[in-house]
Amino acid sequence: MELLNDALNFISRLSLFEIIVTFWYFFFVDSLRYIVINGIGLIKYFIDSYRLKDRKVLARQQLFMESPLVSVLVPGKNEGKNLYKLARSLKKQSYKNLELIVVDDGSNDDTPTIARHLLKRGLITNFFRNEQRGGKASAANLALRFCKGKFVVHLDADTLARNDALEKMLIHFYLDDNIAAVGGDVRVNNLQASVCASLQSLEYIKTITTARTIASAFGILRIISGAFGAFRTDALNRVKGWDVGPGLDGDITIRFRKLGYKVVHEPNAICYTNVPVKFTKLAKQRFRWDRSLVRFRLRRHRDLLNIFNRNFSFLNFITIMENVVFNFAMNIKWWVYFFYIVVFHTDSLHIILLVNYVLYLISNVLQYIYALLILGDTIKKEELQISLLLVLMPLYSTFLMRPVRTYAHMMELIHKVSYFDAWNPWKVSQKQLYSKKNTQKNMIFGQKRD
Amino acid sequence: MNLADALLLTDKLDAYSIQQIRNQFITCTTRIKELIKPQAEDIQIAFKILRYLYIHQKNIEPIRTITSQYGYRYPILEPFFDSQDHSLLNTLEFLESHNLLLSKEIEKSYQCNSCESAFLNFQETCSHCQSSNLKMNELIHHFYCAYVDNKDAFLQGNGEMVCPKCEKTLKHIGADYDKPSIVYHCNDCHHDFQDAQITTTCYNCHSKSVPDDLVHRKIKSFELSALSKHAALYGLENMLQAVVKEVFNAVDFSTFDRFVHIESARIHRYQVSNSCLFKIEISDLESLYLELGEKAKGFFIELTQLIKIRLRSSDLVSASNESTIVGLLIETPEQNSKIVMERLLNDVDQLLKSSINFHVPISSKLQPITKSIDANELMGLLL
Ligand SMILES: [Zn+2]
Ligand SMILES: [Zn+2]
Ligand SMILES: [Zn+2]
Repeated sequence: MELLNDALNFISRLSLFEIIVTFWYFFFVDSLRYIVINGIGLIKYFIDSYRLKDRKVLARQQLFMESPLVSVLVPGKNEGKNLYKLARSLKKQSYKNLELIVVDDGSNDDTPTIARHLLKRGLITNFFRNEQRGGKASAANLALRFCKGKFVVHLDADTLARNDALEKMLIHFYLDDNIAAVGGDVRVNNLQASVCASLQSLEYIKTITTARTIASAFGILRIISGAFGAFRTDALNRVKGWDVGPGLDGDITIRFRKLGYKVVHEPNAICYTNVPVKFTKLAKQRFRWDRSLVRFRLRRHRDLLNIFNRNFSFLNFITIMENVVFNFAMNIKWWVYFFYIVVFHTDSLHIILLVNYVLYLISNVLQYIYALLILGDTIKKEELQISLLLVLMPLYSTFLMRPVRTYAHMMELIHKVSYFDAWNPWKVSQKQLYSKKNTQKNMIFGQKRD
Repeated sequence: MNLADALLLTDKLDAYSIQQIRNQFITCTTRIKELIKPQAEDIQIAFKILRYLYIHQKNIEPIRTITSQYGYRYPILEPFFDSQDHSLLNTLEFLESHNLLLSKEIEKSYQCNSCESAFLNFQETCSHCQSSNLKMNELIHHFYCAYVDNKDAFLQGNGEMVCPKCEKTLKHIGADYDKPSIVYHCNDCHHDFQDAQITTTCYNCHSKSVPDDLVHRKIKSFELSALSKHAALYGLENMLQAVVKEVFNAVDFSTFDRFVHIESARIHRYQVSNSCLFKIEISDLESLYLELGEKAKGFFIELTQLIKIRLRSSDLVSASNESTIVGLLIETPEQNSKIVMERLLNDVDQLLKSSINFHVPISSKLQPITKSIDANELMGLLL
């Protein structure tokens, strides 16, 4: 209480200018992005949805009339235990003309036995196995090579799609000929497993449901979930499939955009996935994910930022810049801000932190309200119950996600660690590293390539 | 040729090789001399085969051939059989099941499930339409860009491999690309699959099948067991008699019978009965052979030695048939004979418990020689 009084006193003593100077990070970075810009995006999303309402009904009719074969590709390692459940859940999809193609990427458990059994029983349409692990991208590409569908749905074996999810995604291909990929909404299945899982559920709603829906409305969506996305097979074949990960899902989205295709996010096409229950596991997962930002947005696709490029597109420029600015540069600025506060406001540090906390809490609540508007009736009771944990979200973002992200970016820039990602087999990582023409490789390996 | 003990080559007619061949024949004839005259029930092909193998010290080896529909033959045995039917294999099976031949598996053979022919055509077929019109494709995975496709998609006219995705030239397998697996393409129904279904077609009767349904036969070679060496020497059923003879230096059964007559006559004459007859019989010889195999002889020897220890040198022992030992305890009253038999049976019991681990049903009988019963009747009562 005393602290709150101090805080109010502190603020009342400041002029508006001083308030803005003290809390500039919140006002010029986060509130601008998450409240103002998202608010505008949300309005655009609802206007678009309203305008497309009748056409969506038509597109749905067209989809079911034509009823094209849709290939569900499930590449993975040691996913045997999930396959039966997955195959059964696909049978319940409202869209029926599906083929299920499973690729076993060098599993060392009983996955091949399970998969061959399901193949015999007709629960799987086709099954391919790589004895040697080749990485998720190559497994997905193998499935792509032998699938026969007009559309492809890429699905993680441990995710469960809602019964109408495939239909909701596929409709977009009949709304706009230029759409090559539709991202599905990934939500947390085990949200009640721990506080950590609940916080991730809130985070997914914020960063996937809200952020991608709004990015999609602005036409600057840059990522289709690897866990759940639908693609036009011809477009996938044009880009010749996925590239080596990590972040391969983000990468292929950018490559589509380079070719002039549109990519959209469909918040009503929902799949549920299990997230890490422990904070240590979560930190490791995020470390892996965050590195891909530097790698793909900054290094591989830096040509999109070149305004003199022949194929320069303003939207693509914004797509990359938005990510670079808010995730990378602003991350650095946040630390600058943090040290600025620590150094110049040492006496009132606790008050400033408290005020920041309150501001970010308000921001989170507002974003949660945005999310509720998008989620509509697809929200589950459990997802509403955990909304009280919003009070922890500013701490979750500040003290867990931001340090991990910063560390990951630094590591990626300095050590290029993602080439040693355990997620890719050694041979693939090594290839990637060598293919970059720099001298660092010799420092790392201490030897020359023949 | 396979039946020959030695080969005399016209271009090697020197003294040494002739001497060698002579020696070979001498050892054979000594073995023939060891043999007893076969009893009537032993004159059958199985016994002949054992004797043949023993005399010539040969094993039964299969040879692969296309001249038999089974895909292999046992040339050494063929002269014993008239026709190329199943009787040869049945006889081998019989001998093996009676522990008279030891087998060693040489290989496994798939045979047609309707005619047992070994001549089968194995084909990869489409798991959808059973067509054998397949194309086998090696997959290539380019590490750099994760592209995966059939080798054909990479292969250029000049034999170089270029990635269709990133247009880089592939250099070394394992370094910048690998071949993760093989995928079949069905030219009839255009299905792509990894696990081709194997279908077999019989060259003999043309029936189609899958490997799981075929007859799986083990092709074996055979050699004589210790048991069969004795069976060859003494006949399939006469081992016990042979052992008893060896251990006791015993009389044969007809001599024994004569002694019983003499003893019976003596008792009639002096009107005092102090002698007893006994019998020890193994009820289930068949299972004993099966269980003990070549150890059966050792068991018989131990058994007869036990009997020998409990008897006096004046007592008389013989074997009346393959499973029965009979004896005459001279000047031993019934009371004493009972004690002797009890101890003897106790010894046998101990032996069975300590040396072999299964129950051998053994029965015994004691028959005092009395003046009121004549010798023929006595023997009838005993046996
Ligand atoms: Zn390539
Ligand atoms: Zn076929
Ligand atoms: Zn046949």
